[in-house]
Amino acid sequence: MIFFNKFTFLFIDGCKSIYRAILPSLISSLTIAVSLIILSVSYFFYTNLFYFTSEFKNEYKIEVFFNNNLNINECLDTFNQILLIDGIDEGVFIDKETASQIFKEEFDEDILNIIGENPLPMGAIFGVSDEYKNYDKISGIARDIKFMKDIDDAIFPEQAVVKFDRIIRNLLSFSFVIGVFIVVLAYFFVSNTILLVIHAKTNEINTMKLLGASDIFIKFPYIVNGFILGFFGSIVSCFILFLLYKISLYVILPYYDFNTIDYQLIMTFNFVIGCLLGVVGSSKALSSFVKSN
Amino acid sequence: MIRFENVTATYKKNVGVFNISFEVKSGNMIFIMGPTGAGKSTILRTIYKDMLVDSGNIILDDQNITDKISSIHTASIRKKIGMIFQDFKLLTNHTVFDNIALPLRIEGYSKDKINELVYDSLDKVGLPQRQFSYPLQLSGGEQQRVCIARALVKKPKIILADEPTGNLDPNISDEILDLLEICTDSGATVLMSTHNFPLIKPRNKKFIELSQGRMV
Repeated sequence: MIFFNKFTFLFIDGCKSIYRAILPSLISSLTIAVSLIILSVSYFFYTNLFYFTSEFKNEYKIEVFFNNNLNINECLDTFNQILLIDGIDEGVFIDKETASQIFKEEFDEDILNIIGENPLPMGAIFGVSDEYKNYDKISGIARDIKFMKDIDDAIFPEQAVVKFDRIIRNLLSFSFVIGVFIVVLAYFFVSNTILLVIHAKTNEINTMKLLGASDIFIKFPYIVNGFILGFFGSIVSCFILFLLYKISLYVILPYYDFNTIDYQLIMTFNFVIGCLLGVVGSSKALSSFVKSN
Repeated sequence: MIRFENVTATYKKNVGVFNISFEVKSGNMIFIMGPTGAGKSTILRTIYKDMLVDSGNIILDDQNITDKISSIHTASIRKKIGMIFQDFKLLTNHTVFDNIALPLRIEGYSKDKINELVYDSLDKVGLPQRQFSYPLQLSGGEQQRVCIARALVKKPKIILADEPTGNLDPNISDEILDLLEICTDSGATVLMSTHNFPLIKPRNKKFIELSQGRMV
């Protein structure tokens, strides 16, 4: 019963303390909201970067050319062996006729008319599974294929893959660093704003201590306060993100088919991170204040 | 009961109180007299654990409170004590009722019990109609009464009053002393510091005189 009485009082006092310091509370709440919006927008760009890269990586293919002296059955045997290699996802066999048709489509000339026979080798194009779509793994597969007997050559767009892999790695590292930076910045911003609120109540806290209040009794209303500020910040950020989302449907979607993110996930993410920022921020501010007093 | 046994507590070398010994029995009132800087507040601070003791012992109701310094222990000692301050230390953005109720809320009293005790305390200090006022709407004398009401509300066994009449005129100071004397009737031990000898002289109570941190 004593615990319940204390809890009720502290919870109500935590709510009242927002009203008592309305301006700093508003600033803290907006700080959390802005941080959440930046984080959510960064997350949106991050997921779209993944979406965009996976679209591009579908073009990661290995072209294989069989020895010219093999007949079609021998080539098909080798083709089937290649399909069994780890990382090979799919394959398209290209016989001599298909090869000459491709030549005709690309150069607008019939090779039979030019040199009187079809010298093009039989070949195949192989797609790799998602986890093999990077330079190290795809070049390993291409090397293995190249060393098989009956294979003349196995090639993939090496330079493009190297460059693209490097760009993606840099972009992902950059967005990760930015994400961590925003979280840390928001955490310090919130804790320092709440620290200002607490500093304004130095006398109140000291008086409560002199009257026998325990550290938990003093801290609890501020933690409730932080939680509520985080919660309100989340509501504001969810509302603004919803508006941004609706606007982006009209402004961006006609030009770029972006990967829409799960709005429920974003809302949950906002509420969890917002409340956590409020609680952790106020706890950090309180511990540094209680230590210094 | 409060007993000091050769207590020395210093802020820095040669500033503080030195070798203080005295005893106040339950239900008694004692004054600590001396000029500003004599060490009156230091003695009170060592009792409510706002300051650590260098040597000696302080016994509070048969419990030695000298050594233990954890925050939980400090809070438990302070809960037993009713504190009255010269500068009142009221929470200015809380009503008179909330200020007086604070020690009870710290202890987790129920709402009904808080109402009963706070109104009882307000009656005792003569402010029955002021419960919804804020401290800054009150005169200095009224604020000190609220401070006393806050100290009395949980019926503490020990009341420490640090220059409670320091900012008040003589008539109101006398009323405050009357209130503190009434507390001893219910068995509370009262320790009050003051530099105003003419105020306490007619009361005919035991007092300790301090000068430069030492008992005279």
